[in-house]
Amino acid sequence: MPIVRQHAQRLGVAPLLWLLLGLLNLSGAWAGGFEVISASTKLDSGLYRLSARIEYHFSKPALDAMQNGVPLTVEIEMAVRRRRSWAWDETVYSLSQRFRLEYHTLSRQYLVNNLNSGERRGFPTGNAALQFIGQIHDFPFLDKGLLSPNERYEGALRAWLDIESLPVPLRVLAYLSDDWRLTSDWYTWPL
Amino acid sequence: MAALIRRLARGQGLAPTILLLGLLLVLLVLMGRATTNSAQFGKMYSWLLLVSAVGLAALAILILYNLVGLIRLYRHRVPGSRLTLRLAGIFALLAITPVALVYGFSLHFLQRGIDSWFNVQVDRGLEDALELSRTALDLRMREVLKQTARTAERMLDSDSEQLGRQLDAQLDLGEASELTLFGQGGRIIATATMDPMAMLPHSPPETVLLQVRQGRAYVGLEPTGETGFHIRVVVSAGRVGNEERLLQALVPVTDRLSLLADAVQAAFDSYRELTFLRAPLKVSFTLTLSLALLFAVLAAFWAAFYTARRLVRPLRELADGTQAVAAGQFNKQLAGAGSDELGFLVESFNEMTRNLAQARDAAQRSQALVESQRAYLETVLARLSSGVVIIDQGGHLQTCNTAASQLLGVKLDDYLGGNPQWIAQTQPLLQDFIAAIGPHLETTGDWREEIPWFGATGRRILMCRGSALPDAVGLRGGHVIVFDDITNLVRAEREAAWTEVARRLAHEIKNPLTPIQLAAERIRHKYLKLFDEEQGKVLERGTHTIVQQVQAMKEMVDAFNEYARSPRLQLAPLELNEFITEVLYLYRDYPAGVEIKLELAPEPLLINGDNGRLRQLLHNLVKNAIEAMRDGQGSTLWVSSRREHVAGADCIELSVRDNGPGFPNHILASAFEPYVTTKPKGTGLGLAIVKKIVEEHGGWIQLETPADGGARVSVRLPIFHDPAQAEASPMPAPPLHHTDKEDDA
Repeated sequence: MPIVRQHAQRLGVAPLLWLLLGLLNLSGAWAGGFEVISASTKLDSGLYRLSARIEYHFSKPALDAMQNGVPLTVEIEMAVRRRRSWAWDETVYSLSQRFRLEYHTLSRQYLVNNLNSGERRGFPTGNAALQFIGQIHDFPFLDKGLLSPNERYEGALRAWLDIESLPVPLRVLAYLSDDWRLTSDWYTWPL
Repeated sequence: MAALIRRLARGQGLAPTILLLGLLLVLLVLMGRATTNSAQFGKMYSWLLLVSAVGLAALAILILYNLVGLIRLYRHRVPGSRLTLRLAGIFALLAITPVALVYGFSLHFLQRGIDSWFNVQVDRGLEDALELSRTALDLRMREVLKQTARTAERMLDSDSEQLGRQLDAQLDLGEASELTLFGQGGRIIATATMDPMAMLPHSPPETVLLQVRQGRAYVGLEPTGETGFHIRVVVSAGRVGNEERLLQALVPVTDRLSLLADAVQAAFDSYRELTFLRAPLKVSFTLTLSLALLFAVLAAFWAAFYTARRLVRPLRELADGTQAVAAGQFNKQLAGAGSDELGFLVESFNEMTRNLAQARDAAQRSQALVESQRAYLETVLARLSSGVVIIDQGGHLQTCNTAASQLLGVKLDDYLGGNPQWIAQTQPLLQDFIAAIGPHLETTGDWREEIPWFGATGRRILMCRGSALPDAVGLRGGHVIVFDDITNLVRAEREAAWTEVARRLAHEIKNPLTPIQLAAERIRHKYLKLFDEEQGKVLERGTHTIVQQVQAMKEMVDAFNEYARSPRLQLAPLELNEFITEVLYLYRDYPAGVEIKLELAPEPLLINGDNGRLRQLLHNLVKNAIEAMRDGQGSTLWVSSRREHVAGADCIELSVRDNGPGFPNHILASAFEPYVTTKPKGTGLGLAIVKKIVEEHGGWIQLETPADGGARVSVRLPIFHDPAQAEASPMPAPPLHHTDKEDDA
């Protein structure tokens, strides 16, 4: 089940540290990155269903870490914003889907854990696993009744690697390195 | 915020700083625990790091502020800043050195300690264990693959309706927990499962389906849930029409094998992760350790500053206090500085200032007492009518009272501390007085003397009594001189004497004169007719001479009586020029051919005088001069008036000058004594009366014989002082009023 919650209540430390450390380390070669290729919603009996395709390009250090038993957590953040011409857009709803990727050495399988649902699947290759989490198909996103009919809304989506879920020793390094700063831009579409 | 930093920096906010330090300590402890992978604090690690960094930065700012402030004070040479800086430096150095040493060793042991966790043999062992597990599982997988392939062969000739049942039968026969037959595009044709709760079969990933369609069977080990595995086998199950069917079997691995494999997997994974994280772990530990070092160093710095300030504050206050005491502020009290030696020092300082203040108060009290006594003495001296002068050993004027100044007509206060020579030079009036008392200052006993003295108010007689002061009062050899103006007393005495003489004369001489006269007249009357003409003429002449002489004697006695019995003076302000003009009007056509010339001062000259007596004075002088010129010598009389400044005092001079024969030299000395005259018919009392009148008015008279001949009498009278200006210069002592002597009736 998707978790719908007020965005305002969510105060992650990660963005703050991103900002702080991003300022310290503006330069650096592109070492990987996530990209939202497409995202759209369709209305199906009063429920918006989200379909999206996201490409994950992990940097080599990140992949190395996964091969060496460090689980990586990817968060897909979805939001609905109310368009305002005179001010910032207001985030009305937001929810996120978290996946944990890990390598199972014994079976040589790449495991994908959906941390929201607890579902676990194994894939023989890393790409298969990434493809799996890169495909969102008819995801029940939002009840139409929650939106005011007179306003304009847009959907927004992005995916990023959650550094806070990394083991503690790796976090400082991850915050300081471009290799670990894997975040897609917000992809928006009119709702 | 800035105010808080200032307060904290100055060591006033002890509690907030200690709170900050405590908070930082807690944060660092939590960070330490988070670093060692504690699940509880792991999630907070970034927050802890951030807050610690902010806290340490705050502490650093605090210390920097402190340091900058202290250096500024040092530059401005504020007292105490040098010592504070030095103490803070020493404390900081003392604290940092051991901390830095411990940090170095800790870092070294940390690196070595983490490295020592890893071992090639353990690495190999774990890999071998994993390989063993894999081999064991591979055997099982191959077995399962064979079984599934057999099952698929059996399914080949089954028709669609029987597939479900057949799958159930196969499930019962084999070890599989789930058997599923897929059609084109992953369509589920039939499925059988041991799990009654399962709704949908576990579909294989696309890649697996692709692989099998290409003719290669798939067998893979998949973890199920948190523990345990199952083996997924997907094989081709033949074609029905142009649809290729695939059979998937999920076979659980036995518990025993599963558990062991899991344990090996877990151990391997954790070791692998640890190996991978070796470098970041070192960084992380080092970071935490460095933060702890920074914390310790900053805390030490702060404590150093705080302690140094605390130590130096009483010293600085002491320095300030000492300066205040040096500047005469004895009421300076310092705040207590604890019970240590510094506190004792501060307490001693406070006690010292208290004592000093008490001593000063006592000194002030005694000074006030002395002052009041002095004022008392001065008041008493000022109230005395006698003049009091105190002269020290060296002859310097030490003290004088108002009466002394008044009697001498000189403001003596201006000469306090001066030596006699200097006073005599600057104030000629006092020359005679100083010369007169000079010899007595050499003596040690008491002395008294009448000193005649010409002051601003004329000739005065001062009765001086002197006494050498005892040594005790610090004026060894000094003298106190008390004097009174006895001029009037002496004059009164003399007048009383003259009056007595006059009375006696009247009594002793005038009384017998009448019988003598009567007797002479009786003799003439009785014997004139008895004698002849010749004899009668003799008698006539003789008795006539007797009567005439007796008459003359009577007149003389009367005149003398008149001289001795002076009436009471009626003093009133008088304009002298006007007065002279008025009196001399009577002489305007004096028959004797004497010309009177007036030489009056242009300005009005006011004196305090008795109109009648002064009239007599002027008449006497003029008559005297005219009589002197009667012999034919001289014919002009000058009467002049002018204002004069003689011997330091203003006075008015009235002079009468003639060009007659002048005074003979032998007369000059005693011209004013009664019965001294050059005139054959004079009573000899004219000038005596003049002198008396002058003296009654506090003036003095002088006879001169000018070089170009004639005689000159000058009378100097004190100027009349307007009472409004009386304060400015001392009034001459008022002449003693005469009491009318009783007539000898």
